Amino acid sequence: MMALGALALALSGFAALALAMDKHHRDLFGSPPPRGRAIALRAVGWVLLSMSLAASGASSGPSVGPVLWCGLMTVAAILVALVLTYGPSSRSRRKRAGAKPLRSAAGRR
Amino acid sequence: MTPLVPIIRRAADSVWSRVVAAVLGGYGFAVAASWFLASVLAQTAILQVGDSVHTGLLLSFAFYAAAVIRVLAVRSALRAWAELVLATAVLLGLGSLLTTPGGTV
Amino acid sequence: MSRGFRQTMVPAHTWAGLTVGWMLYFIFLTGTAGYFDTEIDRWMRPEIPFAETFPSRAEMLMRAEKRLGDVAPDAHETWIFFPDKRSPFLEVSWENADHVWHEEMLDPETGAPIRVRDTGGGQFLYQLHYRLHYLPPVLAFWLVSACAMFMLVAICTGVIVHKKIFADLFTFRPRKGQRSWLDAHNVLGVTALPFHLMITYSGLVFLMFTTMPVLINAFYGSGPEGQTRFFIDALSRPTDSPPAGVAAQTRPLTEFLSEAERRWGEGSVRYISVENAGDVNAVVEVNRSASGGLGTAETLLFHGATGERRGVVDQPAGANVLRVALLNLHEGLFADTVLRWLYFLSGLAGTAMIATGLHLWTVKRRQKNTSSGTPPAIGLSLVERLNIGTIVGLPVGIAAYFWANRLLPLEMDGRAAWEIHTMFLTWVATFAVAAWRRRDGAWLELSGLAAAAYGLLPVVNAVATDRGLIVSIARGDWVFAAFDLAAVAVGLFFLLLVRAVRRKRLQAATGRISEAAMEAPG
Repeated sequence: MMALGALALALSGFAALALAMDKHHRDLFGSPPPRGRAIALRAVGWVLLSMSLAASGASSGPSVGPVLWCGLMTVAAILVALVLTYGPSSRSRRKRAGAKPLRSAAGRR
Repeated sequence: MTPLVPIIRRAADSVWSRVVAAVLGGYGFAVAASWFLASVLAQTAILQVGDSVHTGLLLSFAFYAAAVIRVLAVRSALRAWAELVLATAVLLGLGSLLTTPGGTV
Repeated sequence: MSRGFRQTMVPAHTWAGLTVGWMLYFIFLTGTAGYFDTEIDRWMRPEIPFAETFPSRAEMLMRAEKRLGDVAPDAHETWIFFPDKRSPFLEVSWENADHVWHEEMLDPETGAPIRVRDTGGGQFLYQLHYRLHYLPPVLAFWLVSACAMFMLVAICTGVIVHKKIFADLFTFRPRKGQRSWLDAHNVLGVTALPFHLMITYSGLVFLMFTTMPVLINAFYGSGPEGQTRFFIDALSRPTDSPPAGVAAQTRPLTEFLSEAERRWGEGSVRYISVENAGDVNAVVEVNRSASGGLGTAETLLFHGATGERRGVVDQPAGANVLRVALLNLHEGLFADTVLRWLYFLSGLAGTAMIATGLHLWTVKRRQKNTSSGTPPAIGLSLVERLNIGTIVGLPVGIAAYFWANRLLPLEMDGRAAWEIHTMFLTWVATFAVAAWRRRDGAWLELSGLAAAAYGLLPVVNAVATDRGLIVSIARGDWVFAAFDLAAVAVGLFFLLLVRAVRRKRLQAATGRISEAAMEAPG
């Protein structure tokens, strides 16, 4: 149960860290985060990740806990990346922007 | 007779020379560096001989990786060989001078 | 970090990864399966009954001793392993005077031997990742270590090369060809970076006594004698006590069991072993089943003839603490179910990182070819074929191993060996398909084959045994159910791959048409 809590903390921590980044914030809200908000989000993200470590330690002890934490962080970070890519808001955003054909989108780069 | 020297020079400075330096030279350096570390640890009595050798073994792969990256990063393969041989020789020399035999031989 | 330095690391990363990429994929995939070796063992031995509760250790010890007395009265070394949740059977093994090992699984309730089919089980898959099966062990250790060293270099240079990996931690842009593969490679690499580093370095440490012998011999004298002196010194390995040749009755094993249970609590002993049985120098070892975390589980040593305590093997000391911790981290034997799955997922991330890296190499070069209009070089074709035969072919081979386990006749001679041959023959066949068919065709057909081979595995299981998925779920046998469900999941993954390859093919076709249309007016 404690491990589930640690996973939830890692997920929300990474979500906050992602939102502190310009491109992901822009994807969701249309503009990069104001400076103060970015700093706050980053701080919250790191606090949540450390709480996740603490929860992992409480779940599995001081030596195995960090191992559990690393594993949970891997899963959490990949989940956040998947949600940002395939999640509902990113899809509606693409629709709003009037998704361009694939080739021209690739050609812009 | 004359073309032989430039051919050897070019071979020694080729990509393949660098690969050999990284794989084999890197291994030699790893042994030398961990040998030196183990002998210093044992000589200064920071650790017992067994633990010194053990520590050297555990770190040898880090030395190896560092050597490989260094070999791949320097400007020319010849330079890479020069650095590698010099460092290996010095570490190996010092290491073998300082070696304390371990166990009850 | 200068730009020039980063630039020089690009070819290093590319070639360190490519040259041993296929071997690394093999090592990572089979090693990842190895995290569930015990569970796969059980699926591959369906004769072992499902059980969750067991009789007391004392009762089981009696049954095991009775069986050993019947089949191995003169054995000079015997082991008795008690069941646990992962392995719900009693196991006895013994060594006779002719140095041949035997083992038997017993029903914990009756002590009767369970007649299991001859199989390599999950143990074989796990050992494959460092033993490479057909090769002599020492050669395999050197090869695997060399690959691991390349991997270590590839990881270090990878972090340097992909300078934005931490900024791009959550960035995946799908359906953009090369860009998407690079994103996937980066995300898989960086999110599981601690695992990748740990598993690679600890893998090297596992084999370091083989690969770095010079250092040991420099301090402890040459040859195996020098090595032995080092092991006694550095690993605080208890010295052997050879048999004295004087017969003496070994005390009843229940005495040792109850002393251990007084110390650790009931049901906490994993195994009891007797060395030099019947000799005055008999040694009895009792091992605790509780995980020692990153250290070692406690083991009690006794004089068999007198019953006196000889010593306790507990936590390692000195530099050995670090080595034991690394080995434990690598094997993850301490992991409970949740952590075991996390290990498994991290291993899959590593496998997928290697696969995407290999594929990326071909995508980059093929794009260059298409834009310059030159036909693909032989090297590119070769890498593409090897990629298909490895990335999809190996999973097909592993599926064939599971199919063989269910379909080969139970009484067949050399059955376990033939399961393994089936796996490798199938794998070789997939290479033939990859070499012979067109590139897209091979991707499609082999992925389709993999989807079918895994998707149908639960069906084969349900037909060939009485432990199909529905039965397993109904009785709460989650090891069997999870194996079947995981097979379905793998099948679905390959089905998605089939869909993706088809869509790409379609896109490429329409792309060519629209390109031609655009070029026409200009």
